[in-house]
Amino acid sequence: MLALHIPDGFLPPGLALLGWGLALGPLLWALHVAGRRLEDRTLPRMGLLACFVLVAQGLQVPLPGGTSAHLQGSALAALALGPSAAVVVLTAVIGIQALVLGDGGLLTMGWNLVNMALVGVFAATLVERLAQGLPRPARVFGAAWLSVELATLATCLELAAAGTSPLALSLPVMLTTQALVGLGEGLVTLGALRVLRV
Amino acid sequence: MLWVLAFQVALGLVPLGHWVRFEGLACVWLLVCIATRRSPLPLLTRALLVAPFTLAALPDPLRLATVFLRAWLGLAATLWLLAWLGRDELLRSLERLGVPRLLVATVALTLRYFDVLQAERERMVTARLARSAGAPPAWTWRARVTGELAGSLLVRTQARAERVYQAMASRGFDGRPLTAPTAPVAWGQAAGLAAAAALLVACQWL
Repeated sequence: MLALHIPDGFLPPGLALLGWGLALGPLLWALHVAGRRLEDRTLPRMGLLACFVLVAQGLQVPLPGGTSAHLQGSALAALALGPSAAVVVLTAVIGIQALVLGDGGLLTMGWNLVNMALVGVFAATLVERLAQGLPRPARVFGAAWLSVELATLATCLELAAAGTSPLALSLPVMLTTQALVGLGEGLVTLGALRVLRV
Repeated sequence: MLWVLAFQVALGLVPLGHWVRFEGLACVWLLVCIATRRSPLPLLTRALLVAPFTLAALPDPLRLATVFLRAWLGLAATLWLLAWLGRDELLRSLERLGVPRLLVATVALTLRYFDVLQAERERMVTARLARSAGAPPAWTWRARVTGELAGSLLVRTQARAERVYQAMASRGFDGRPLTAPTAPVAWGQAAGLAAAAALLVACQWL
């Protein structure tokens, strides 16, 4: 996947801190919901599921033209776990990617959380719930595809607001390539949820 | 960790093309590496990972160079943090900073089982490749199979989570996230980092 993880240095400090401000509220809500339902199994489940998302992101998803991309996992986590658990799981994943793997910045982590843990998760959840009139495979596929596209759109807007990359350049390039990635994401999410019978 | 965040802020405040200030900040970072006995060269080399992403700053070469330097030095600082603290101390630092315990414990478990699940994924991919000999099938088929592989991995992960819970419960785990006791920051370390922070501030006048 063309990574949506914005590295440090791409956004001015003020804008980066705004991202943290936007991410903090929903993150604390998700932790509160997860903590309220804390039973013995919650912590090992969430830890191992965050591990799964991190490892599954290493799976190469084949795309047309012989290329491949990496799974994003926002839709899979959202539809398999529910939005609040998915937000916590993806926050852990994005945190590890930034601190341990050097993928995505520390200051810019707020916006990375907004794009992947919030926009990606809630877009997938909303689409799946609102498109109840469609057959389940179409709903799941559409939810996964849209979660990738909307997260990409959000990233482009942030880079443009920072003056790093103009929309005229980033939008056509990133939305087009991520549209292909979204095809793979949709098929993989569909396959995974079918195995889980979710 | 606070020092690294301050370093990122300092980098972000460097105006376009202000190379002298970049040099000053790079020197501060080098001093920190020397003081903590971490070799800067491997960190700088690994931080070059960020280079392809800076193409987003095309077509303005001045902006491209500035964004590259911010991202490169910023990532080098983050890599230094992990190299210096190690994973366990990094997690304790997160807790000291007030990160919710549930999140820190989730991160700890994720790191603990990352290698295990990664090895399992590799075995599953090898098995799938061994069963896929012959003419390359359509990409849609391969994408769906990858999805089923992800689903199988998720089922195995859930089973492993249950085994992990049973092991934790047999050792007295009652559902509340626990982390190791955090020792206060050593005097020398605090003084060194304060000096490094002061140098960062001084660089703003370059």
